[in-house]
Amino acid sequence: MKRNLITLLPLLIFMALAVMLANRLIAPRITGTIDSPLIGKPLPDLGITHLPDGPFILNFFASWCGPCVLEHPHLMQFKRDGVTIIGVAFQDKPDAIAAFLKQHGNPYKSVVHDTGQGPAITMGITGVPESYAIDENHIIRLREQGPLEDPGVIANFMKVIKP
Amino acid sequence: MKALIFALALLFALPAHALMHPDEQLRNTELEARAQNLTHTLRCVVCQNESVEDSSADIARDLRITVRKQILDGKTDDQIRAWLRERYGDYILLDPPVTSRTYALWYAPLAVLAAGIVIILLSFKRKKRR
Repeated sequence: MKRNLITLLPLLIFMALAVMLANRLIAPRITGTIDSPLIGKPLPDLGITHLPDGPFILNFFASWCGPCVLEHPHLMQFKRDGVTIIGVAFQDKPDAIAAFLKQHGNPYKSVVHDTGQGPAITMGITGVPESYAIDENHIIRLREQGPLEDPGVIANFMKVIKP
Repeated sequence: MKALIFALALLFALPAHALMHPDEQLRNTELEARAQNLTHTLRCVVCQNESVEDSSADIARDLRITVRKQILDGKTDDQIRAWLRERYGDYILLDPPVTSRTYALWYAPLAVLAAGIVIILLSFKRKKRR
């Protein structure tokens, strides 16, 4: 019996590892609460003048980014709901951004251009679109990587932006 | 003759990384070497298995330039690494640091190896007894 157990030990360890890894692979993504070391910390100095005093959404986008088009109607809805959004145009040209906003509408209170080593790196973004919910004390509360379109994520963002 | 020219060209060829991002490089060769050493230890945040130094992604380029700017600002390698970890977490490091969350990653292979050795020794012992 004992011998059988020892022989089976490597198989058992392998199975335990396989179950653990498979579990991580199929675990549902908790939307709107992706681990960012900046969550819960004050907004770093982004070099953006005239940030709103109250809560706002910081949205990184670009005219060349397909998912940003998908996200745009939701940003327009945020605007209609009275939410302040600050846009950071990531590695884009001012003309292209102006045309993009003319075509799809402008949900932003202001747009900052980041041609590299600006707010994007300071916030640790990995791509566009990416959005942050900043509360009234300018603490970073939530991050969404990818389009801000999931109803659950939007509800979570609203809780922070409109407490 | 062609082979000789080719061999000579290879002999005097610069390392690939020296030609990869010539516009980003620092003039001071010592600082540039430091920057390259550092960015080789950073993980590209969009390509995952490539270092920031080797990646052609735009964000990796921004990170390379950011590292070089911070070196010029007089920051130490540890300060730059800490600044990046504050933003990207341990994910930015190609070698994850040993913390309670990464014990399994670092020590599981040793534990499995030790378990294997014990099993082999026990089975030898049993064979001898027979």
